[in-house]
Amino acid sequence: MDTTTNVYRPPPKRRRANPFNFLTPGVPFYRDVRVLRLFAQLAFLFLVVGAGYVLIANLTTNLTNSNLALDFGVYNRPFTVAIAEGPSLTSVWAWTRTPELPGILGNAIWILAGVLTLYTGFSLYRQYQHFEVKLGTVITIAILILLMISYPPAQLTEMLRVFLTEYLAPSTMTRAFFTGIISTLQVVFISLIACTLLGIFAGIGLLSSNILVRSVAQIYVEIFRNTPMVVQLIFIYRSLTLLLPAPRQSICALGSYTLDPNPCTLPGNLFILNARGFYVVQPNPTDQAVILLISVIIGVVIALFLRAWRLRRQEQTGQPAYVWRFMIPVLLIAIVGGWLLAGTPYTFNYPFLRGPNVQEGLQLSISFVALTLGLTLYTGAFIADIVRAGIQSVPFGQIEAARSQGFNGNQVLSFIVLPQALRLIIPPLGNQYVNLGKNSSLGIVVAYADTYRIAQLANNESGQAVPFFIGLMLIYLSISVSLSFMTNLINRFTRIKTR
Amino acid sequence: MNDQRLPDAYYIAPKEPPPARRPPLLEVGALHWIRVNLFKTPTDSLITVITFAVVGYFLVGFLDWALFNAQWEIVFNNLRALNVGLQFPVEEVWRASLIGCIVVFLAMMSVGVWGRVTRSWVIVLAIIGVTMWVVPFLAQFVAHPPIFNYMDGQYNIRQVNFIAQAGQTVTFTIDPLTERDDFRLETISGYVENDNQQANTSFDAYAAASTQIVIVDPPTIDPAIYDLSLAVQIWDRDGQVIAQSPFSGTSPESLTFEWTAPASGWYTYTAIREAENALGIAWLRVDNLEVYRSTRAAEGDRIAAYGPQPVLNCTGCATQANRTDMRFQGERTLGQWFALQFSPFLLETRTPFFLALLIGTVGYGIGAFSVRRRFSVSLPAGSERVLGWGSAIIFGLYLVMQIFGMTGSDPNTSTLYLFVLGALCVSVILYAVTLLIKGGTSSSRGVALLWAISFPVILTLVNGVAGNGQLSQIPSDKLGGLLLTLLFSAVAIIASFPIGLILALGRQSSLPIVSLLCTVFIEVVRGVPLITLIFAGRLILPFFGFGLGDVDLLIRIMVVLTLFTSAYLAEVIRGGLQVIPKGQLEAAHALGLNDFWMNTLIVIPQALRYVIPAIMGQAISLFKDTSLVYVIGLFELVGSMNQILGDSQTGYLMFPREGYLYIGILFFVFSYLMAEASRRVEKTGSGAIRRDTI
Repeated sequence: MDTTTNVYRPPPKRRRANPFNFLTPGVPFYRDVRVLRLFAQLAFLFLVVGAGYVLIANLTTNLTNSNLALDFGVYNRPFTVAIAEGPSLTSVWAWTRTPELPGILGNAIWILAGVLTLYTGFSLYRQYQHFEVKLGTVITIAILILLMISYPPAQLTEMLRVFLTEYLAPSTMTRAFFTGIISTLQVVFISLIACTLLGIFAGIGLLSSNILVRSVAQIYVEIFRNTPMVVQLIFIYRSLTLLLPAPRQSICALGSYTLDPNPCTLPGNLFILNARGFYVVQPNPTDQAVILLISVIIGVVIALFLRAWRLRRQEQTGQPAYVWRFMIPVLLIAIVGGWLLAGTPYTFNYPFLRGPNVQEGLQLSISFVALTLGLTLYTGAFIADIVRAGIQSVPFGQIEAARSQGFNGNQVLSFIVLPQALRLIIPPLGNQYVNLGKNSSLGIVVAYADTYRIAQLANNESGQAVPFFIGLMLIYLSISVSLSFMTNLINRFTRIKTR
Repeated sequence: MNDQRLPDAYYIAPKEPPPARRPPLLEVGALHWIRVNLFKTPTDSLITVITFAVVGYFLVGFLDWALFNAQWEIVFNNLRALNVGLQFPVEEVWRASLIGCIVVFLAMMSVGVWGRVTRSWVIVLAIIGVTMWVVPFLAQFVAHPPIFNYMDGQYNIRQVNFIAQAGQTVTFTIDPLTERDDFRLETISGYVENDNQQANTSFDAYAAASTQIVIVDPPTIDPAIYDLSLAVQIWDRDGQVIAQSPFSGTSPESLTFEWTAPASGWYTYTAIREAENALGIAWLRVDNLEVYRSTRAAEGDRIAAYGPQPVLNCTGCATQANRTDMRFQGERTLGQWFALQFSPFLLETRTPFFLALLIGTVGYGIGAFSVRRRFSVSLPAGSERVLGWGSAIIFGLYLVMQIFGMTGSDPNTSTLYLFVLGALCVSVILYAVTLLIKGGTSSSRGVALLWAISFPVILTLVNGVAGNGQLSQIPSDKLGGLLLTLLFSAVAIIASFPIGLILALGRQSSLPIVSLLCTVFIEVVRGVPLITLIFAGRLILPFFGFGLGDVDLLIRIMVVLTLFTSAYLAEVIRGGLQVIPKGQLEAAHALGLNDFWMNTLIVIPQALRYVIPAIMGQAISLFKDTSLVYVIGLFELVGSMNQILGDSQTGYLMFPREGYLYIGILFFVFSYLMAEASRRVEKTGSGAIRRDTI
């Protein structure tokens, strides 16, 4: 019996001589799947585009009819509302006010650090391409960048000063928007770091064997996950404004150390708190900071050589490397010695009370503090749960196996648990970062002058909702996209390394 | 028995068993538990101590504030405003109550059908019920804190209206101040009029002014110039003086005056001075008088019971005070907290609670009985089919009416609409009853049908019917409070479901253009904050034509919330679609199903079951997100609280913490219940699936 006749044979591939002749011969075009698919899509596209066209046409006519003709030139109109929120632009980058511009040595050092950063960055990129990123490289780059920021050359500071103080002064709508974006980014950046730390601590607390720590972490997570962030923000904001004293009765660092009746008026207060804001001391680099910079760079280079030496020795002899026992003293000596050599690498700008106003120092408004705190606590609760789930996903057998191999607690955590947990933690963590970026728009409920608030003010001033809405969408979309891009990048570092 | 002892050398073990010893203290009982759970290692002990200190510090501070200092009047005086909004007409509150009854009934019926009431539920409810009776009963034995009114040469106390019950004895004490320490705000516990720091500083300022040049330290008032002679006057509603105390005289001694109310009702007290331009400082202390803050909602009840507040004028008196300037100062006792802060809340919520308990029990009983019934009732043959088709036909009619705009809002057709809705209700309820009588799996369908029919009923109750006297239309700007929050959440999650499903299928589609457009929509909506879309819903949506300009802000925000949620739901559902094994699709194709039927019959039912927890999570998230709409001036829970706080008439401005804490608790309870329900459904309900199969 011939069974082969029942076997399904795919039809031989049809060769198409003419690319435009895509119709299947012998099948009417209205039954040809490809034609139908094409028509379905075209119809859908037509519907969507048609609907969009009608809506936009309606929008423009209706706007014109109500004397609000669509005008994107509105971004060049003057913006007259005074914004005084968040850390002021000039005080955050205090070094833009450094009067003495560093000389040729400063520039040379800066260029050297830049070249080193580029070189290390390139090696990082190579490591990244091989799915193998070394922590040391990342730390080196971070230290170099920090140093570059802490001691920038004169030309750059001047450029930034001009950009921040003159160009970004909110005199037109565009500039007001830039101010708003910077305010948003400040809050997002600080909360991002703080909520990650808080989330990790609370997540580990959720798994603690200590029942007190565990319950506290659980209660924290449940409360902050199950209530709206708006309510939390208003509660924090109103509590702060109610509980903190009036400016004249400010709380300050020297308050309990002197018998002076007005300790906040004295110089040397590390912080001053009152119902208007938080004021903290601000370090400013001087010209001597270059010596600290050189010293730290030398220290880093020596530390890296030490590291390479210890690792090579470990490979050759099998003795433990003790990398950090060698690196940390060198780095410490470099920092402390550099500081002592430099004399006064930084001057400290202490806040003090004069009348009802606090002068100098880094000034953080209550809105800023409340928004940062609210974002941190809210997102931290979600991150805690993600961290818990990630750690719990590592099978307990692996931990037992590591224990039986003689790993201690820290080693189990850093070699066995974390590398596996991170793979599960990072994708949802990225979602939380994106949510944080979007939730920062809730600054409106605590009167923080972020992008959304600026858009609202601009709309109140001009009545042009559409251009500002589009601007808002683009800004928040780009924040979301960059945050998720950042997480994808980190995700690539941590996923299973395969060659 | 040979008990001859062998020589000692033969014994290896002790001759007698050692005496029983107590196990080490740290190895058994509570101490063992504490050691293992709190002090396992030195680090652990350190962490425990630090956590205990930090958490204890904050907890003690919080409890100290919540029990002894906080003013919970803002919550229990405004429960109606928080439930249905401040502007909601009082005579229409029954509708909100009816909606609550329907929801509780159906929810408990669902519990009866799909789950069961555990013992812990019963215990918790019993504890709440007992508390609701015991605390208000004990509360009547606790004295009210006194009221302090301030008076000096320039400043008169105001007329204060109050409600007294017949036979209530009120004690007035006029207490002159001659030294700074006579009266200190830090040392008192009571309601103080006009708390504007005046009480802290006025004595010094006044002493400095009255002694002209010589400022002694500490400042004292020369008794010789103290001549503020005061008397208390009590007025009835009509402005007649019904009682007056003797004048206190100029001597710096206190005068006590007791007054018993002849009948229940409004009275006014004030203090009058014997000589104009007399100097001195005095405090009027009033004991055994209830202080409450008037709100619009509470005012309505009071007017119903005692008539409107008296509006009186007396010469020499300052402006009238409606008790709104009274502010609690100092610390109250725990008894006073129970009596004055907790008990009023229980009194307000007692009746609704027991009503809900009753209705819930009935619903639960019906559901549980239906699904586990022991005997069979035979219905007339075909009745189920007749009712089912009848309901379907009436529902078709209802839909056609909706499509052609013949809704309750249209005065021409509102009677017809009401009639059709009523017929629909009757037929669907009868149909559901036949299903419930049938029992077993039909019970679930019956309950689902009842939920489905409850939705148009609830919307009609909220919206009202044009031209109907009993069910008049409520303007949407009068809606608010919890009602609006829940309405937003329910409408958005239900309406976004089909859209989200279509978007998810569209994104999964093999047609590139469809997939691209759906993806762009989903990602753009997910990439921007909800508040931005609400901004657009308020300011841009009206200009899109299609009558959107005439549509209420409320509806527009519902549209925005729906679109927003549908993008998120689409992603959730897509996750479920991706879990379906490819073999299932191939099998469906092999059976000859086309794409539409494959999706409808094979893919979607399975995918949805997988994502029930995630959908529930989305619902909770949406429920929390609705609080954002207060930014554009809609009075849902947060907006209502803002409105209450901002009302200058009621003087709640200083108590936002109490108010928002209550809202937070409310949100927490609802979110927690939803999450719990989701967990139950995932585990036992119709959403339970065998996870081991995939």
